[in-house]
Amino acid sequence: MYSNNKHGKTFNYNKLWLKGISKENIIKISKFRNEDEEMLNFRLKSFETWKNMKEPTWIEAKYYIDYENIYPYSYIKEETKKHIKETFDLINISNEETERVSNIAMDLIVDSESILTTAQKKLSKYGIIFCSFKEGLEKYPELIHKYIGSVISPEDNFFAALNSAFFSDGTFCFIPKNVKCPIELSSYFRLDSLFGSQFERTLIVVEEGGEVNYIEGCSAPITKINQLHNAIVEIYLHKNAKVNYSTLQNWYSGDQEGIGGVYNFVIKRGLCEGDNSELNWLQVELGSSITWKYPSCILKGNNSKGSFVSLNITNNKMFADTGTKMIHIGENTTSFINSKSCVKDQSNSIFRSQIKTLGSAINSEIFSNCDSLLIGNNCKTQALPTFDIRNNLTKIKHEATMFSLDEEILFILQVKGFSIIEAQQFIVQKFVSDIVEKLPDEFYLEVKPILDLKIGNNI
Amino acid sequence: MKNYLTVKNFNYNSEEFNLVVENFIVNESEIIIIKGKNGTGKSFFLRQLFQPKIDLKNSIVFEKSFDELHKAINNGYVYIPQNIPIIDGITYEILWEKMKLKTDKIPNSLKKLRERVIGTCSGGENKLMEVTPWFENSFDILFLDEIESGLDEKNKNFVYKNIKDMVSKTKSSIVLVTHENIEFLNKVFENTKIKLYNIKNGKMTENE
Repeated sequence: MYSNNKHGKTFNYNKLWLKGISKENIIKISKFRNEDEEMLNFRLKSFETWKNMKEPTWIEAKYYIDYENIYPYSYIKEETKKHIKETFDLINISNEETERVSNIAMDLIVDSESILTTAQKKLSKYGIIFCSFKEGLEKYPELIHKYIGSVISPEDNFFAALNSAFFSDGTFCFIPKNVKCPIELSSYFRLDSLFGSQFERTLIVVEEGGEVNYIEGCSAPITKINQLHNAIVEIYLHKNAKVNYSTLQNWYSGDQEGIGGVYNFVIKRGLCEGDNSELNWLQVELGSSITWKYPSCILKGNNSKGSFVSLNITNNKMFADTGTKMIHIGENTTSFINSKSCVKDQSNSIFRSQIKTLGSAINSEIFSNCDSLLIGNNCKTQALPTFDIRNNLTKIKHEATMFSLDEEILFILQVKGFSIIEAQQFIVQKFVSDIVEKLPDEFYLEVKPILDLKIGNNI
Repeated sequence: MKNYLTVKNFNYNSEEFNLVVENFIVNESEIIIIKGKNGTGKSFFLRQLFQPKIDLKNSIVFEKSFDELHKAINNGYVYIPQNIPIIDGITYEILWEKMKLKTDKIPNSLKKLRERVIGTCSGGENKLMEVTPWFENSFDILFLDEIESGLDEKNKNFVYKNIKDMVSKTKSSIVLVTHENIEFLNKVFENTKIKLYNIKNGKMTENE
């Protein structure tokens, strides 16, 4: 279900609507989505903030976004939506009986709109809200207004402000007190419109003692035009809450010459507000021509835990600047970082982390590890960890390795009949195995063949 | 008599050693022994046969050429290095299956190690796990780089007996890089066609 094609064909029934980043278009979007005044004001205030910000220049990748000519909102026609729903019914994904026995719920977002959300009835029996952002605002405005921007404010950075002004669908999820979500929840994003952009907004709130496993997947068609995916994922965890958030990112990454592909500018952050809360980010980054993404944890509650486990594969001319931030505020907080990058061809991969412990975060523990494997002589990788430790009672362990493919093993495998590609694939599979083994079942079966294709330069 | 491999005008110069090979020939059903002191380039020479530096490429002519290294084994050219590195994730069983090798006659004492990861057995066991399957599978040339290292007398005799049998009973040839005493080799390979090449003063020549 997730990224299960080589980016496929587009639905070809998209309606591009609204051209350019402007105040007028924000008002039109808000009206089109039947939003209340408070939300419109949030958007407009964000837009004013954005206008006064400068686009970051520290990122090494070269890109250009023509904000006056991008299409911030697009959707597919009603008849196409109907057709997709019928197809889902046909393959028994969205019918009631399948939902009853299924162990996963899905929110399907194509371009700017959610077109299908499954298992809502089943989840509602537990008091769980799982719906599109639009539906969330219509039905639960007080929750949305309370939490939107509480973890990632529009003032946070240039792309946070842009998203806060123009966001469309993503998913809203609310797990009530002491409810452990009985099934996995997922959002699947399709950036289908060739000229469109996607301003995903996902908000997850987990009340005291609640738990949820969340899965996110995505894909985009092959196009010579650079598409923009500008997303915000905010997660708010109360006392004793736990969230496992897994992502398989497989946007189109451009061709061998670096033409086309998605600009994936994403802000993901969780606030472990309550004591003993826990947020675990797991990501597999396989696509996008440029990725700019740092899933982070603010560990405010005492004894709260955050982890970031990342597998990043780049080939051709991809550029990935990823990593994490771990901000320790509460006492006895722990963070765990394990990042692996496999870099090939002329691609460039940067691991960037910012670990900060405030004076209040006594007895905190940090483990950070970053490994990079280079294949070929033209690729580039950098590890840029920073530590800002403001108390003497923090334990830190940091490791980083960077190495090239073992030429001797490559030779031995070849004389034993493995082709060079098979040998490289084998070595990469071993390099990433400790992370791949931790993937949710839904991803596990898909990642290996995609990895093989990437190392074999078939995508 | 079929010619499997000819190396002519092989000329390599480096800071560590120089090696000139004017004429190195492997025909069918032969045991070729390459001897020389440490650091004279014996192992280097074997490796160059499979992965030659650009300027040495034209010096090496296999009967069945291979444009990519992994095709060598399909053409019947097998290389077993002096040191077997650990190849995490591949067991001998996986390897034998990949190479489509018959393994019926492998002694039980070795068969029980088949689920071990390559390179993780003892030094001698690693060598035996690599070489033994070839005693019941066909090949044109088996290149063995110091196969004797790590083997006790019993296993060394087992390997040499099988080498002799392969060469006597099939058209396979063996190229041995070795430090074994030549009298000993003459004895174990008695009644078998042996050619001895020596590397001395940067030159590899055949001892008549």
